[in-house]
Amino acid sequence: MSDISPVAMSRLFTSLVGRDVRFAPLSAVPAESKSRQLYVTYSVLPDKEPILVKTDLPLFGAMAGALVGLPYDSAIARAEENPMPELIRDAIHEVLNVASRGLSKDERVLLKGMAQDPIYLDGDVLRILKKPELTTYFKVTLANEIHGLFSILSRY
Amino acid sequence: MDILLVDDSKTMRMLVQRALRQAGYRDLSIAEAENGAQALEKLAGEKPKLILSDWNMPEMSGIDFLRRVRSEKNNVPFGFITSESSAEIKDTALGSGASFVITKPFTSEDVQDALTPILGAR
Repeated sequence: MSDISPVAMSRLFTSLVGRDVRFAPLSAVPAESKSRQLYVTYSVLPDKEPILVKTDLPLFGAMAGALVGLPYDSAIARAEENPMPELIRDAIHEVLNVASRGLSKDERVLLKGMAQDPIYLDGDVLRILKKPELTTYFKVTLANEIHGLFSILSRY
Repeated sequence: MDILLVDDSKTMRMLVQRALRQAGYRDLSIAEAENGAQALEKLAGEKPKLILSDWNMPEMSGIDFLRRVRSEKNNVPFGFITSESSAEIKDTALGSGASFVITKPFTSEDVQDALTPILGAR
């Protein structure tokens, strides 16, 4: 978990969405984002150890838009609708699914789910959110236009 | 049906279809299924030239689907398009009768490289 490469993550997302995506590591804990959040749960096999990613919903709405050919503004607006339209929800899910490749070097990491409210997180994952033992923060930039935080929280 | 495309993500099915067109396979008819169980139903009575399947899907995974297809003595060419990238997964796929594994994210060139030996160049 501590070896997540910003270069590898940047390449992975750039290749997926077809736009320049840059992951810049942050050495200090960033200020709490004012954007709506997305809580994403992954499971590391074989022990099913959970990883929680907390990220800005507009950032992933925009990346999902890039994936399916929607303008950023439109994609972000759709991502913030309640309920989220299937097209953008499915595209965000696919971006997060491919992101699992960047979260581990050797183990299999599977996307388990995403939620916009932490009340939907399982107990184990909620405990990680409240008291993560290891945190990795990135500032993410999409095509020099959209910016957001991508935080990886895990037990260890 | 020329290609049976199996993925629980509508977005990914759309992206694979786009990559197939970009790779020159515009003339092929493509049927879609959301998981292995649905794909088995669509396969009944059909002889596609190729099956393209995701690995992780609800109800029936891609590898279980492949094993069911092969258990029915069906030798249709079968390829995976998956975010799974480990050597173990690739070995399991190829050992179970898959022709190739394309790892997401992929390009139309990746698709072309994998499909040319099976469907010919476009």
